[in-house]
Order: sequence, then structure tokens, then C-alpha cells
Amino acid sequence: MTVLTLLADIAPDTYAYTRPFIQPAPLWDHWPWLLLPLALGISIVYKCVKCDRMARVPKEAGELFLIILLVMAAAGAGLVGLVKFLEREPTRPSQSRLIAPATPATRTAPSTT
Amino acid sequence: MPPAPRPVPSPIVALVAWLVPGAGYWLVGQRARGLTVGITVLTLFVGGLWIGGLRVVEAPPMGTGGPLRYPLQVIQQRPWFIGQFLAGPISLVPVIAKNSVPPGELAVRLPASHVRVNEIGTLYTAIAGMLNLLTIIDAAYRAGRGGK
Repeated sequence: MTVLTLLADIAPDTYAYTRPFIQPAPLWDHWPWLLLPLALGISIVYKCVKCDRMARVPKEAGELFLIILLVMAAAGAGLVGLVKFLEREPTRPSQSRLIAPATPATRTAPSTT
Repeated sequence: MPPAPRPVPSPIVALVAWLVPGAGYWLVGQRARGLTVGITVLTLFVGGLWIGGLRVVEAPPMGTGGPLRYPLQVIQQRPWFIGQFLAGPISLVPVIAKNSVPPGELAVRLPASHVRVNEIGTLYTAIAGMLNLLTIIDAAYRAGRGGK
């Protein structure tokens, strides 16, 4: 199975993916996986620059790749937690009392004195 | 005993490293490093074009006198093109392809990508260029030290 037919299978029925490089690849639902080869490429090139001996590159690039993945996962989890914290419903009773509209039954009559 | 090869000047190494990613290391005698870097940078760049389509690489508008009179404003319109351009002359291929299509037919013949796919394609191509900048500097520095 070629990459083209594989991509045609995961593409929505409304999107005819027939021209690679001309059309965008139908990967919009799978984009987080695309960060893996990017992190691997960054690790390899960075370690090629840093290491004196090329024999050390595979091991050190592998370690850097794992560190990048762990840090990205931690950053993602932290951001998800922050968003959930900021989106939470107000639960304090005093706050909900302030927001609730006053009903006629609870209104007090104005004083005539 | 064969004579030692004459050292290549650093500016030449830098220029060759931009023209063909990884070739700077090749010139200073570090072939394995050059091959690894070249294949990785080119794979990332071509991968970005494959993910987002050729139009993830778009040059800033070069109107009459614009880039010369207002270079900062022109660059600010598409700053990521600086990173993409650093990947070498290969970055000009999508620009030439886009300019060869009449503007009226652009959406059909060379459709643009959007949202995540566009972002990831742009990221791949720009990071490939930035990584190539790292290797250009390193290869030129090693050339100045006699390839060490």
C-alpha cells in the first residue's frame, strides 16, 4: 500500500487527495503525530553540531528526542490543566447569589417613613 | 606521503553549506556529519512541503521599491520566510512555482492549506532552515580551525 493510497483512505470522502505537494496532505486530524519526526530531526541535527565524534550522535540524539517528547507532554498537560482551571464554573454561594436576578417575592417594599 | 589538502576558506564553506545543506561539512572533510545533516534538513523541508503543500513557503510581496524602502514592514508580513530561506535555494522552488501560476487560477492549481496542516508545514520548513543556519555556522567555524 503506497503512502498516497494510505492517505486517501484516511481523508474525508469530500477531499480527493490526488496531487501530493500540490494539495495539503489530509492530516488535520492526526497533526500531533507530526511533531514526532520534527523532534527527531531537531535532535539529530543538534547533536551532529554538538558532538565531536559522530559515533556518539545516535545515542545522544535518542536521549534528546525523549527529553523533547517528555517536556512537550508535560507542557501540554500543564496547559490543559491551566485551561480547565480557568474554565471552571463558579461554585461559591455568595457569588451565585449575586448573579441570580431578584424575584418580586424577595423584594422588600420601600419604606414610607 | 600525499600533500595535505588546502583548507577551504570559511565564507566559501558557509556559502556551499547554504547552497546544499550538509555540503559545508563535506568540504571540511566530515562526510558522515555532512550526509546526516543534509539528509535530515532536506527531509524536514520536503516533509513540510508534503504536509502543507507548496504554498506553505511564500515570499513576502516584492512590489516596486517595497523591500528596499520598507524592508522591516515587508519582512514582518511573512517573517517565517527568513527561516525557510535559510534551507537553501530549494526554498525558492515553491515561490517560483506559485509565481508561475496566474493569480486567478491559484486556488485551483495550487491550493493553500489552512489551520493545523498549514502551521505544521510552515513549522517544518522554517525549522529546517533554522537548523541549516546552525550547521552553516558550525561548518564555517570548523573550516576556520582546519576542519576540526
